[in-house]
Amino acid sequence: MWDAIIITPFINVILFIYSIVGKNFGIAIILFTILIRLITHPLMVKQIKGAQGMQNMQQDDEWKKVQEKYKGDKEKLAQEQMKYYKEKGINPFASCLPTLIQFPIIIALYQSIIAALAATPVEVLNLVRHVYADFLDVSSIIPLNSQFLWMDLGQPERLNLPFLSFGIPILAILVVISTYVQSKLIQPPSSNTKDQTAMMGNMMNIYMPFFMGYLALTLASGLSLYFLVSNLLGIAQYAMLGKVNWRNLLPGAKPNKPVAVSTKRKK
Amino acid sequence: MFVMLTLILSACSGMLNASGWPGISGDADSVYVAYANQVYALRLKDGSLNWRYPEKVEAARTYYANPAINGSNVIVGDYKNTLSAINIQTGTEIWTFEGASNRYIGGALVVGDTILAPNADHNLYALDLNGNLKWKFKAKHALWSTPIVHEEIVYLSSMDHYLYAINIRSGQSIWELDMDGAIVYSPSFDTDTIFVATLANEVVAVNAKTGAIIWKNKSGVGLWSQPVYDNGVIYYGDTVGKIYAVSATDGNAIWDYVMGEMVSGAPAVMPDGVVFAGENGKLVALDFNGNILWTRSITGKLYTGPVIVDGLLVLGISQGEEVIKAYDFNGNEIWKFTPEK
Repeated sequence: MWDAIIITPFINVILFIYSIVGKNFGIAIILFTILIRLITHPLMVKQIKGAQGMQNMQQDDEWKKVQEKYKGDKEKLAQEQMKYYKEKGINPFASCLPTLIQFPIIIALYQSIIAALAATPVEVLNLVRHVYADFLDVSSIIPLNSQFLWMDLGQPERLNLPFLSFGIPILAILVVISTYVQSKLIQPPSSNTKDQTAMMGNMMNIYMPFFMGYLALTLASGLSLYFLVSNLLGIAQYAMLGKVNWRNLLPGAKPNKPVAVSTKRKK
Repeated sequence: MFVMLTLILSACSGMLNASGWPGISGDADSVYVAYANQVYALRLKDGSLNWRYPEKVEAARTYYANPAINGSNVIVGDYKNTLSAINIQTGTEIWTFEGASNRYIGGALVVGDTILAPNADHNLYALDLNGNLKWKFKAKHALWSTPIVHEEIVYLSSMDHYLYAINIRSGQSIWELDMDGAIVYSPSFDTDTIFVATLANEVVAVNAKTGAIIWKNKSGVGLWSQPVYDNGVIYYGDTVGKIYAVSATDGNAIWDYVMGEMVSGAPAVMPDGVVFAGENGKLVALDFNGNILWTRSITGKLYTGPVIVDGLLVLGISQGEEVIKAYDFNGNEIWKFTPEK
């Protein structure tokens, strides 16, 4: 079901792109990632706006007073919270619903790239079965040209230089840097240094780049390319929406306090 | 965050199966099986384990290529770019060749004093019996199948759509022929004709001396099997489960049989018939007129046909309870083998 409805169409689109861009699988991965990001962009905008509304609420003095006032009465606090949402026009599901919709799409994107990077007989057999025979000509697509720049996209990437006895994992390094930069740039501001969410975010900012770097080091470089492009597009999307805080990149910089933004619905 | 969750869910999705199927070969005493992280030497009489290689499993090193037998050694390539020669009696490593840069998917072949090892890095490596490189031949794309040799000419099918004829002494190309589709399996040979099945859904007969096409049969559906020659007839099957027997001379149909599931790998020719393996575990033996002799049902996937080793049909099974099952020519199970976990 998942395969037929989501993965198979995705695979056919990526292979179609591959076939029209001169059988360059690297370009196909980049264009396909851009395409999916463009399609899911409106969802991302909604998600960011929803998250911003929730974030502003946490910084709002009015809400802090309500929290303080009803800290012993959870039921009343919940009622006040709903009232606050209504007054300010905040939809508490505005950030998670787009995320839930995007999630399967991103999974499908990842899985379709894995499937299309077929480098062994079983993988090619699986791939052939996913191709719409009326839409694409299997015999002209296979074997896939997995060479992109110095990389074989079906293998972990290393740049071998003549004066070095070991290969440099350029893509893995770029994935680490871009993951770190992305997480720092979109890190939500927090005025409270003891804020648990912020602390967890800081931990993720440290561990996530290394986790992604490890994956990029060991998995097929086609996936590493997808991680890199995805990170760069994520930064670009946040930047376009004005949600990037470049000062977070400066050493010792602390996340800015948020600018008070009214989320009250216009009447 | 998305990516991490995606990775976790993908691991549960079943998208990533094993990368290959068991590679099998054998001699009068043993069956050699390359599967997952080890190569196994099994006693032919009862399937008991004689030795396994390497003794200590390395997670990233997997073996799926058919092992080649060279008197005192077994030659086998792995998915970590290494070709190893193993002592056939003890399973100890004799030498390794690490000159390739990609996986060994197709099995090596030993001809006289030359080892021919196709690699997914597009090269066919010719080594001496000590593992020293004699020459290499570069194709246009990955080599996944064992070459065949006749009168000092190597016939090599490739994923690059080409069939190559190469001088075994020099490694120089004699001729090459564009087959319009990738060739997953090895060619078959009869006197002066080569037979190959391509992903362009064609079975093609090629003049071995000139590289000229003699005939081609176009199928309406995919072909994921190796055509096999026997006594003037070519046997093969397609992805929707139809088995064909056609004339080796002109490709005309002799008979067909509907098996009902994808026919994979090369059929095995017995003294009184031909055995085909189906992807979903069906084993069908037909006589030379297409009449059914017996059928068996195996739990697991069959991506490769049975291999005949000294009067036994040895079957490699993927995703099943056992990895190997051996049958006699009447379809009676003789033994089975499951590697220790």
